[in-house]
Amino acid sequence: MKKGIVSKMYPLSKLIIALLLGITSIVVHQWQFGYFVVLPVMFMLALVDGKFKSYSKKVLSAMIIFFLFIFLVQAFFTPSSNIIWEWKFLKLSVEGLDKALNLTSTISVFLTTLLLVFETTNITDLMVSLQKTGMPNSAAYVFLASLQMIPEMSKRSKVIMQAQRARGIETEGNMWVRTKAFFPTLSPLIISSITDIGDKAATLEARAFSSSNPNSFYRDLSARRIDKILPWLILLACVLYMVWVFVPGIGGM
Amino acid sequence: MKALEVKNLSFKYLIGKEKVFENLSLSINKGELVAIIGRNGSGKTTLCNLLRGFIPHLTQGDLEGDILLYDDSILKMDLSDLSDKIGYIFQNPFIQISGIKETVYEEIGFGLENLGVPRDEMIRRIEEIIKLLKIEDLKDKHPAELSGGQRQRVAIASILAMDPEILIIDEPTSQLDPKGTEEIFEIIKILKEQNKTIILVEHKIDLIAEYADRVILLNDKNIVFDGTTSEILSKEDVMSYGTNLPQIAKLGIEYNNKVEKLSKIPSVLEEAVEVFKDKV
Repeated sequence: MKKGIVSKMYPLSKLIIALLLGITSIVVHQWQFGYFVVLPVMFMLALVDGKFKSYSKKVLSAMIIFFLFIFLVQAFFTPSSNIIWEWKFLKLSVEGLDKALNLTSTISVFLTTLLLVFETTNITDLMVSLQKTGMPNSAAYVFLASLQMIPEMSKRSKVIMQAQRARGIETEGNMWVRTKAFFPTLSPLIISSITDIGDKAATLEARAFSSSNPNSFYRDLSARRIDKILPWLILLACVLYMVWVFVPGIGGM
Repeated sequence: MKALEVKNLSFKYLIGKEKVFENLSLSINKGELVAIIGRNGSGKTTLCNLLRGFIPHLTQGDLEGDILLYDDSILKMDLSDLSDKIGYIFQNPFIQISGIKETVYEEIGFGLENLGVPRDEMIRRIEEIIKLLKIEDLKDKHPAELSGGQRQRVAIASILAMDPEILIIDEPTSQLDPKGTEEIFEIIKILKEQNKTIILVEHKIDLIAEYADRVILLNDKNIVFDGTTSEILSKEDVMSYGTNLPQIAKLGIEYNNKVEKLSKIPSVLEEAVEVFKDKV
């Protein structure tokens, strides 16, 4: 499969750009930045990269949960005298609307950019690029291992569940039966996970995990020239934007 | 030349009531294939852990005596310095995968990455090991989705890729079918031909008889028998320590006791043919 232009980018560059945009949106505090600049651009990039469907699904599902709640609370419960619209106890004010838009815009910048980064990046590649810049081995391990551990644990919990059922513990039925089955299935899972830690440490050690040699990497990742330049360009653009916003006489504010 | 040497070792786990070993001494020569046998709980795995330095570096306990790797005390060495010298293949194949790699190919490379082996060399070694262990069909699979036997092979591959000069192998065939077992022993034979020092814990006594140079029988905190394979595996006493003898040796002993005296108790097929050929 051919990789799209976003997927081809060096993971670290993508992450840096995402964070730059996020920081900018916090600093400038203009809701238009999130909604009219970052959001459409991210969707366009996802489209170009051929990941539009799964990306938009993720963004929308995250937005609906987050936004509706935050937006409503901020918009209707910010105390103010500038009421535009009123219905019983709900009062929509100018300040409230402004605050709600700003807050959700900032969140949407982080959300859309980071989701695009993770959508288009293999997580191992991201870790390799971070390790190359000096992130410790163990930090990368903890991150990646916890991602892989979740399906592993759920598999194991199913086995334990079956074993306990074989011994006569009922695990299906009404709420009370299930609650009673909770401890006999959960405690072996937790205890066995803890006892495995010691063995796991030894097996990692057998693979030279604590070796003092600098790591090498099988994944051959290197930043192209564009990957190195682009974060700087974005930084420059962000700074210019901030100048435009904050320096009187240049910007519109 | 002595590769590993254990001097007057006594050891007790922190939570254990009794000592596991009392005043045990042992030396293993370079290039030797030593099989350790003994009943369950006789300390085979503990001895392996001591030889690799996992005890006392990772698991603490009361330890007296010394363990030497080419005259340097393992007890005083850094654990990380041992990883490319002594390879350790664990009994339990399910905990041996790193848990962070997406393919078997990368899984095998994990140790090499940690050692900082350059990428070209890494790829060369991974390819070589995959071919040696005949696991070409597994190389693109996810390590977490393998069966027990497949994981065991991958675990062996991952350690062999690091090319240690001494190998400690704790029941490498516990999850394998007879054909897989035979294949692993063929690989052990190849490793021996490469002049590696191998310490092997295994219950399949017929295979030990065929491949090992030397057999050590552990029982009750110490070594009971230590000698060449044919010498130890023809002793009737071995069976009273909760282990078994090869079928051929049993036949020889029975024949010797009940029919007529044999010149020698055989432990492998060729010896048996030699001994019995003028009897029939």
